[in-house]
Amino acid sequence: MSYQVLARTWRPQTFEAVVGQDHVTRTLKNAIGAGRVAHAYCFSGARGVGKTTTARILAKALNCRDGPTPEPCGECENCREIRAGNSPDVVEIDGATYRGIDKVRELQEKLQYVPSKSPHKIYIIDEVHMLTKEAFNALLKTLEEPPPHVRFVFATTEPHKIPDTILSRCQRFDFRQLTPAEVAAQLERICAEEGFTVPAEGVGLIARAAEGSMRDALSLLDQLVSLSGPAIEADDVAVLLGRADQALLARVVEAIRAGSTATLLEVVSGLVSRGQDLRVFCRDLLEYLRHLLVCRSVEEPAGLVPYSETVVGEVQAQARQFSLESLHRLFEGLRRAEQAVRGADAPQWVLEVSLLGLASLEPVTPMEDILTKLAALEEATRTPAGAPGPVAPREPTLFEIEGRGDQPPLVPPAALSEPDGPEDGPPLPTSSPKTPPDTLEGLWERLLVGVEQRAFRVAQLLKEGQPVSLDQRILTVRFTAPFCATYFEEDEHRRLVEEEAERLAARPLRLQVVRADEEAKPSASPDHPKPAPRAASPPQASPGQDHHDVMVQQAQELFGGTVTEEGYLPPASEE
Amino acid sequence: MTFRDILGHDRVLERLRRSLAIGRVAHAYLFVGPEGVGKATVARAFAAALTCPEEPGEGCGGCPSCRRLKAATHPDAHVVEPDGQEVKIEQVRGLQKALAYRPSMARCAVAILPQAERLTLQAANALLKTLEEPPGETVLVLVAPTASLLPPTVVSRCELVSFTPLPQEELASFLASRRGLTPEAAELTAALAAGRVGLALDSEVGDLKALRERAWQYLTSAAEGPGSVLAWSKHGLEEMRRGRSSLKAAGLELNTALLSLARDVVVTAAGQPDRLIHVDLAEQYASLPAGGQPAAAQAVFEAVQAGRAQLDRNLNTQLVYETMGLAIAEANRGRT
Repeated sequence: MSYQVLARTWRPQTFEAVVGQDHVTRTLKNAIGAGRVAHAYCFSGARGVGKTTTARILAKALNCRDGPTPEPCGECENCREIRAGNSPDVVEIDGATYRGIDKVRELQEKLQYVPSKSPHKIYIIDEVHMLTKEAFNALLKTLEEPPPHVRFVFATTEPHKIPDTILSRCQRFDFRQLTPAEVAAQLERICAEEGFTVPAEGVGLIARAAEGSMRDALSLLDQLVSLSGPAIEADDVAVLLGRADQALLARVVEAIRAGSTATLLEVVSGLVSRGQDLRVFCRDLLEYLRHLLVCRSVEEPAGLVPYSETVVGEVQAQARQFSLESLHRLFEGLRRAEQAVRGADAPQWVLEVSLLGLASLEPVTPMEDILTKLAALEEATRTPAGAPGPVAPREPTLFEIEGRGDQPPLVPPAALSEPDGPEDGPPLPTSSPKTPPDTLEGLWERLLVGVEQRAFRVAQLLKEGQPVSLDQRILTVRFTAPFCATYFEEDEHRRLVEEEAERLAARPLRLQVVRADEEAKPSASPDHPKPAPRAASPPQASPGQDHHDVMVQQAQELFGGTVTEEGYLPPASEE
Repeated sequence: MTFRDILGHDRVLERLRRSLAIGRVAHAYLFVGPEGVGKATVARAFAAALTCPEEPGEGCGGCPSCRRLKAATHPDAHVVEPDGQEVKIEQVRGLQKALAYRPSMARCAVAILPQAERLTLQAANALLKTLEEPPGETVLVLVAPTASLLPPTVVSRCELVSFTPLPQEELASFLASRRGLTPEAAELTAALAAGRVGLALDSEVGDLKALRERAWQYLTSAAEGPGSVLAWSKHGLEEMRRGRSSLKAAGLELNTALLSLARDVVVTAAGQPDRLIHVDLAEQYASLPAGGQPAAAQAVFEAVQAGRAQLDRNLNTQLVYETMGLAIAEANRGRT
């Protein structure tokens, strides 16, 4: 019955025995050697890395019969009492239980008494972050100038919860998490001493599962010994941790890739009937995916994944079947599955559904491919086959405009030879030196780009128009489709175009909309252009006129075009 | 309750028995696993094994010690249940005080915290010292659904014991033999309990059939469209409420049944009709629009899962069922 867990029996008793915290122990030893021990220390770090242990060793070092010494004997009365936890001069307080200001006051009252039989009175406050704000503040004075015989050691897993005023009065040491190698080395030492045999592979598994905490590692070792006795096999470790082997994980990933739903369901129900913990399985799968990702993105993954050479080859081969994007998406999907499985009442169903969901996903297209496709698409939309009007089939981008000087003209000459010979007027003043002679075509081209940047939709419709003429005040544009004409007769859209035109031409310009059917007829009043009286006059007969459908007629009215039996054709001008 | 009376959990029991046999019982355990699988039951059996003088390491179930344990009057067994919603720091201090005395009847004292996830942060921190170095002969058993619900400092001080749900067949055959259910009824009960013995033992077969019937009604009404599922959420839930403690309890029960159906819809959409939980519904599943589209089926399952999370967060039950129904209707229409 009276059994002490390994983490307690193997609690280090000297500074040298503390694993992986050399930066702390060396400093403390030197400080003790030089007689420069601070009156307050704060040890912070994750669980099971040696904070309380170091605090106790420090207590021994200070109160040892030969002390203060960097190497406490461990033999004298004081050392033995500290080890057993019943020294009257080393008070270990649990910050969570004694967290109120009353407790701090009680403590302060006792501080003035000299230690009963040791040189120092040492207060170790564990989990000090649990003290209330008032308790901390009550401590401030004491902490700054404690009686000469008093030493404080605070230990905490959450240093950010301690007020700065406290921290600045302590010497602070951050304990780091142990590496798997350090944990493994210590485990091997302890196994040898205790007479356990554990293969290196098993030790490695424990060390990784402990996530940098020595106590976690030792409590796992404890469990193993109670499960399988002193002779431990690597398999026992895997079974205890519920770890899935690489072959099974590879099979699941392959099933996801191939969409083999039967395999996935079979694997999950197999796990359940063997009593495997699905949460652990999820984590393993996630870890395996991490290994796949590493193998996919690194040339020489040997040191980065915990597999032997042949297995690394297999993993690499599997990784190559996926794109990096697919792996990332799988990882994300499994991460969510892991979370859902962890809290679920019916983890089996959740895992099954998650895996089936991943298996039914389409393969991801790499982002580069998408970009290429997008670029192609963009190109295509910019060059609509036989775009109406004199505009260049592909309007220049911003950069092309800027670089115009050393580029061949983007506008094909054919487009520039506009049939309408508008009186170009005298050369117009330009605002930008980059602007070429302010011709109708030059302005139009720029206008399309400018409008497109402000409102893509408006620009698309504006492209339907043909610039007719440009003088000092008016830009005339002809639209074949009545719909477009109406659109630009609306104040909102007209103003947008006018603003852009004004910016480009550096003078106020008015947009005059001309319909194809009322060619060159200026609208009612030049100053306040009103919507053309479209509704009043029905459109002229078109080839599809004999169609009686009112809707079709209206549509035709709006968009122009020809009605055939099969469907609609674009307006004649686009043919 | 002793180890012998426990169904399943062979690996857990083997491990505990072994520790008892070789005298390597840790001073603190953390039992984790889904609700209703039997964690607290095993913890009580473990307490019996620790304290029983007749059959040490196993528990006899008949001696005065075991009987007092059963009646919760054992002087050395301390069970700390939440006081209201939480286990408070005063309770932990009370426990520490109790543990400071030598055990009066048994060789060691046992403390069980059946809902350790409800420890307040202060209470959990106050427990740390006891968990690391408990006074004298003491074994603490903490029980929680997952370790992540407790501070890592607590978890690191305990030996972790993981409980998994029972395989459906095992639970079904147990129910058939122990409760005298027909194979059919046992199958249904086991399926709806999702491997949780406690739940399976608490339920009446007739009720379960009706429950599944209701869940199926809900699912089909959702497939029909928003109108019918909204109507169902109003009347169906009200009807269910009769005979249950609250609307939420009804909602939670229905949700588990729904989850099993939704899982089956996903499996149907994946083309694996022989892996269904409710095999008798195979044809009906296929008739649902989502039964043929993996993505839609996934959306249905996710909607039910989300509904569960909302119920856990105490959202209005009817509202949860309405939004869930709308999501399922949407999925069945193929717009996911």
